[in-house]
Amino acid sequence: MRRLLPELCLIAAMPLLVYSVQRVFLHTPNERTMGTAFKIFFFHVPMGWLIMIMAVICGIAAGVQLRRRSRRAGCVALAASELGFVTGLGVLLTGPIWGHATWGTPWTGDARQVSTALLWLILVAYLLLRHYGPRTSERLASALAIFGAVNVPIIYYAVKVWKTMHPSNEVVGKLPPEMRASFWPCLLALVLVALGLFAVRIRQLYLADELDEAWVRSQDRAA
Amino acid sequence: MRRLRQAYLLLRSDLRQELRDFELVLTAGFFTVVLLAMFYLSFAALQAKAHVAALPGLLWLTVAFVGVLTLTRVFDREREADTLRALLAAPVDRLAIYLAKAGMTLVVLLLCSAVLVPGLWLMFPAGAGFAAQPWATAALVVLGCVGYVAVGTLFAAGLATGSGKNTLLFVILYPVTTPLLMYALVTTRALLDGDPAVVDYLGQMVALDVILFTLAALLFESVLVGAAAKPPTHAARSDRRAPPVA
Amino acid sequence: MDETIKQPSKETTTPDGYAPVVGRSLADVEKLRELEGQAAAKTASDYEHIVWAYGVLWALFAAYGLFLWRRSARLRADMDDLRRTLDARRA
Repeated sequence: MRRLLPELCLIAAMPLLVYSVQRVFLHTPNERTMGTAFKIFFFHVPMGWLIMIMAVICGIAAGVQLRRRSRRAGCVALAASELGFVTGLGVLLTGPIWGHATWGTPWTGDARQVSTALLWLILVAYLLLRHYGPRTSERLASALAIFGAVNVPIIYYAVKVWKTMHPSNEVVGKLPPEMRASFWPCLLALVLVALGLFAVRIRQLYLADELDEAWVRSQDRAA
Repeated sequence: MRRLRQAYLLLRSDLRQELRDFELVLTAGFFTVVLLAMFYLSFAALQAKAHVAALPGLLWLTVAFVGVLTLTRVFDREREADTLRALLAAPVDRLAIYLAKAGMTLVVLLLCSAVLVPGLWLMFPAGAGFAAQPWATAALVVLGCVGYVAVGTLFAAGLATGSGKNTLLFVILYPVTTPLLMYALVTTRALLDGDPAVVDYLGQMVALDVILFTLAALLFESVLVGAAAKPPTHAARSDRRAPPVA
Repeated sequence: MDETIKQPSKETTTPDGYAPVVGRSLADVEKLRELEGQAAAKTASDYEHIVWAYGVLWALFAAYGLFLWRRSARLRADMDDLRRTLDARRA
């Protein structure tokens, strides 16, 4: 069952994606002030949740890697940071598209927007360090991921304080109840897609590590 | 107590080495002056209202840039003499090493800030707010530098290896220190505006510094030991493609 | 809207029994058309933005999927290399 987890997630996501798209476009009323462009919200917000979740998973896995020298935890951390990068990029691109459609300005300086961008920068820094850092920088990368995870709430409060210099209204209010029914299938579909890709990537990274070990053992034996 | 004494001895040794040639203080100080000149050239033509908005950014960006330069140099010395492994092999508490290196960087940063803040006040009239509340300004600068140094020392130590990939320090440090930067910016603006809320903001900066310092101190030993470890002898994955057997 | 766009009256009749031709005034119709035009323009612009947003999301996931596929291919090639090397050594 565990071996088939990625495939099961992606297969389950497929009909759910079709259902959520048809629900959003055919059975969800338009929002009063934002109009049709509000449909972007149904995929934009789940991506925002996913980057936060991935940042926290990355931090926890990095902590486990640091404490137990676990290679699998290292693979989980790297895979989580990659998914966080992809979903973060999705949020940071669709957010301005939605902002431009609704308020005529791509970047409103909303607290959530700015804190997501800063968190995304930390994830990119972690990826760069893992890929280009010196060979002995694994623990440093773990420390960076832990800082990133701890920074998730700190960044949010810091941006709220920073916004006292740039006051503007909170742009997204509560979701009306008739739209909540369309939101949950979209969230579930995207979570399943992300989970499937996450599991595939962990498996790849672990396999790459095992392959490296096998090469080293074969070279040692040859020597 | 032993830990503090070891930190004091290590710091004293670093300071003695610095007192011999003043290399770090002079280079960092000169860099501060150069940045001041560049800021003056770039922003002097703006109106006074814009100066008030720009001054917090000018102050803290300079601290950030000078901070990275100082951190790189502090650990460069260890790397050049390969004393990092010797330090770890010696019966020295890892936290003492952290406190000593952080202390050294903080001393240099505060000396540069002693040039930076009066410089900004002289170049931009909006900086009169700094002179009007000298104690609050001093507290702000100290708290901002302490937080920056707390995080920066951890990551600079992690990159203090033989290969010297220092460019990554910029990549790592700036995103991680953005919350601290934001608090420092807001507090500086409140200070310049004469806002009484500046005391609250300073309190929040103290809390943030405590969190960052604690986290960095907890992670320092693992990171330093990892950085000082010998790199793996086998070839890296990217350059280990065995030629296919014919 | 109800205040500005007057609905045709159904009650009145002319003296010879015909119902008068009543309707909206030209000004009202023009205002209505202008508002409809604005709504249509907004809807068209919204659809354009929706297409871009969903396109970006699918492109990102497709790009990551492609990246995973290429990594898998590279891993498979690596494994084949290792297998060949070990077989050659055994032989």
